[in-house]
Amino acid sequence: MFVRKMVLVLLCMLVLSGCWSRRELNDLLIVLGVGVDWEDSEYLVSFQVVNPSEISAQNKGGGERPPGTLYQGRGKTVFEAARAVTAEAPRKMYFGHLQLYVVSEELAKRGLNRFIDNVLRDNELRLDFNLVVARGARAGDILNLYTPVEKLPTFSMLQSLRTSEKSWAPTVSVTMDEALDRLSGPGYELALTGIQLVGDPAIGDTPRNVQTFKASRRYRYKGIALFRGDRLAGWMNEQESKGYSDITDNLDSTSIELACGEGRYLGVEVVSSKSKISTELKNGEPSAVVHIRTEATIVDRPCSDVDLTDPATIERLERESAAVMLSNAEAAVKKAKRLKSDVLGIGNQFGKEHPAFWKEAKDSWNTDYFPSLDVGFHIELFIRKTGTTSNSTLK
Amino acid sequence: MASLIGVLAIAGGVFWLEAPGLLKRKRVKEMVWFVSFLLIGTGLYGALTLEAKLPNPFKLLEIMFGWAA
Amino acid sequence: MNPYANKKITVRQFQILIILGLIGDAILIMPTITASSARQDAWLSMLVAYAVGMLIGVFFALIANRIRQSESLIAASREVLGPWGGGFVGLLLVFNFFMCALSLLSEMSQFMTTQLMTETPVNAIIFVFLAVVILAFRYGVEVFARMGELLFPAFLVLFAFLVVFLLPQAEGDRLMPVASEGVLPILNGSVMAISITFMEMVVLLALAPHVSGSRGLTKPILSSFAIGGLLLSIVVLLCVMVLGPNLMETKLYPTFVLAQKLTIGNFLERMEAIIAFMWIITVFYKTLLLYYAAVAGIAQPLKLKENVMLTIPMAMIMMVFTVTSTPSITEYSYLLERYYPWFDLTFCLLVPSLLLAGLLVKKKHGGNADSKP
Repeated sequence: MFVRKMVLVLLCMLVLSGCWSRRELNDLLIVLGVGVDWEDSEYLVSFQVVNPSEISAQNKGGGERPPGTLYQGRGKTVFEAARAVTAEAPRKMYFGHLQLYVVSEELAKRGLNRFIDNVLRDNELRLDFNLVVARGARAGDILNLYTPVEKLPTFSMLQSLRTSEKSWAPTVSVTMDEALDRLSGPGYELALTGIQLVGDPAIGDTPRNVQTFKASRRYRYKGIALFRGDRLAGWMNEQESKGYSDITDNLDSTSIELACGEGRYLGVEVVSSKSKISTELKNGEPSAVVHIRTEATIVDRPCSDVDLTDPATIERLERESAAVMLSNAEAAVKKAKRLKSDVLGIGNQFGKEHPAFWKEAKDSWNTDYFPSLDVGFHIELFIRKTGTTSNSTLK
Repeated sequence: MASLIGVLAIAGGVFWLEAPGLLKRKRVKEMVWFVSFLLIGTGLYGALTLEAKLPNPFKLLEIMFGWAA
Repeated sequence: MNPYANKKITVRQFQILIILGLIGDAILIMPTITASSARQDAWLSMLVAYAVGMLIGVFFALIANRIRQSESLIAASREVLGPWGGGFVGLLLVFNFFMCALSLLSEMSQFMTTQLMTETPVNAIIFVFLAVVILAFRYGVEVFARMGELLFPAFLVLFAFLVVFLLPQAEGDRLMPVASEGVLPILNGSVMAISITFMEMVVLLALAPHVSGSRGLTKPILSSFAIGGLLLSIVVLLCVMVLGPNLMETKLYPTFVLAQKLTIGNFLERMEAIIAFMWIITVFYKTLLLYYAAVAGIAQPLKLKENVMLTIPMAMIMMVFTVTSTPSITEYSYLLERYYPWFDLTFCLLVPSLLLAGLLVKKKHGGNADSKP
């Protein structure tokens, strides 16, 4: 009897000895950013990896090692490149904490579907990281940067992307699952923000970059890239990007400048904005109207002849601001039409409201229907507040 | 080879666990069926360990319903 | 000692076992199958399956009510259709339970090795899983029914947690356009849903003789089917609203992606392993029910007085066949989507209807026999 019990206990211990597929924390090489380039007909994949001892709060000493490291691998597929890196890297990479995926412009022009499938198939990768396009630099260089304030460069870039999407508008943060949605059919094309490096390239990847008060080499988000299918078609400038954000209901807050004479500009802050696209089908002719409803605040009044206590002034400013938003939105639509890429989601809206029409039109939407689509705008802007002063006493 | 021994060991272990009780209660028929099931199970498991090609039971479904689908 | 006597589970335990069995592995694989046909109308497919499932529940209740006095399902069929006919029907039913158990084990092992533990060999997972199933069986019906009662609130809490905290990410827009392709894709999607979820619950007939009390089983069965179907419909609806049809169709296990998206105030994130616990409960219970029905059922036609010693050999056979039935996920899915609904239709509906026919005839003749002196 005792023997049986002991045998049972020992058998239990066999099963409780731990997971088969366990990977201890110090077996992990945590990848925060991935950059994909195309070089010599091969994928050159750069992995920005965390150096955990450098960013831990307890380890105050030792600032000689960088907070992260860049490993690069080559291969005919991204997966091969990732595994090839183990020839240099001490551990196998772990993608569960991936934050940023940088695609080089050249690869974006060749088509994203060539290498993005691995990302969907892998079980470690979650689909909540952001995609950006590298502009004027290699994707690997973007990740090879010391950033001030935030020790981890990818984290800095990620936060910047998300904050600027909310506060500044001409950027848009696209996560991988949104990108999958956009790439899965016509009607709503993909648009990704572009990231570029500015400043002196010489010392960007050394600690000296952040030892001066203003970093020599910095990143900046600039412009939104329009895709046709999975290929990059063109870029939008700042005004068009703002319009894009507006129409696709991504706008949270931004700044509008109104000229008020003598080269001075009145500042208006958009506080919240909601937009909707409504579609109509008249005799088989499609048309769409974009409804935008915005609330704003006056934040800057350099011209003292603008009287903010007069309701008529407010109405005039509302009209002028709405005109600015209208010009942004029109510019965005014009650019999208010129590049034959419906990034605004109008086709998608047709699919939801007029499914029968959409079923026939969707294959030639970008080429036939969209460029000549009649898009109207209905913009309502309300200036509710003027800050903590109405008319200041400045003369 | 080692895994085959492991399989036989498991079969032996099962027999040692169950058989005495059955013998004590004098259940002959149950013993017969138990041993036959155990032999089938061990045989299949051993074949699996030796990487023999075993039939796919869902192919049976294909045979049964192939004309319908 | 008769192994089938004195085993009593309460009606509530019976209901809980049915609900857990209904959700089973459907919660894992059904969203992707319905989405591949119906896309954003997957929830409509599920509602159609729900309606049909209730009818199936009525059918099962008719049989369940009449076999309560017997010792077990197979004993009932032998009483009704005679020793040979009933034995044959019983063997068919056991074969059905066996194949369903195989499919469940395959699904579970594939899920584990795809999402959670990719380098673990499949044999190890099936081995450990079956070991627990065997243990649960050997302890008896009352024990695992009571355990189900204990685990059910945990399941409900996790489910409510998942649903409530994902609601902010749900967008009603993703449901549109509704039924734009017509009813055929919706019906196509619901076929698999009906067979995996509701038809496989024929296993409740194996439990019915053990339910204590003498009140009818119709209401408990129907209410359990209603609750189980409702929970599944909520899951599918949530999948469509949070993930959208593209992601649902792309990923093999959309409910896992749902759990991955769970984030509470940017603070509590990455809790998918906790939610996976919920699925392990339901898959375990369904496997256990099927295993119980298979092993208890196979002893009856062979007229064995004990069935406990058959557990381990049966498990060995099941494990071997699970491994052989999944040479690759592609082949498995191919066979499953093509032939499994037919298999379920024949063995889960047609075969029990033979039993029901026998029961109805017997009742009529039994009634006549009573009136004779």
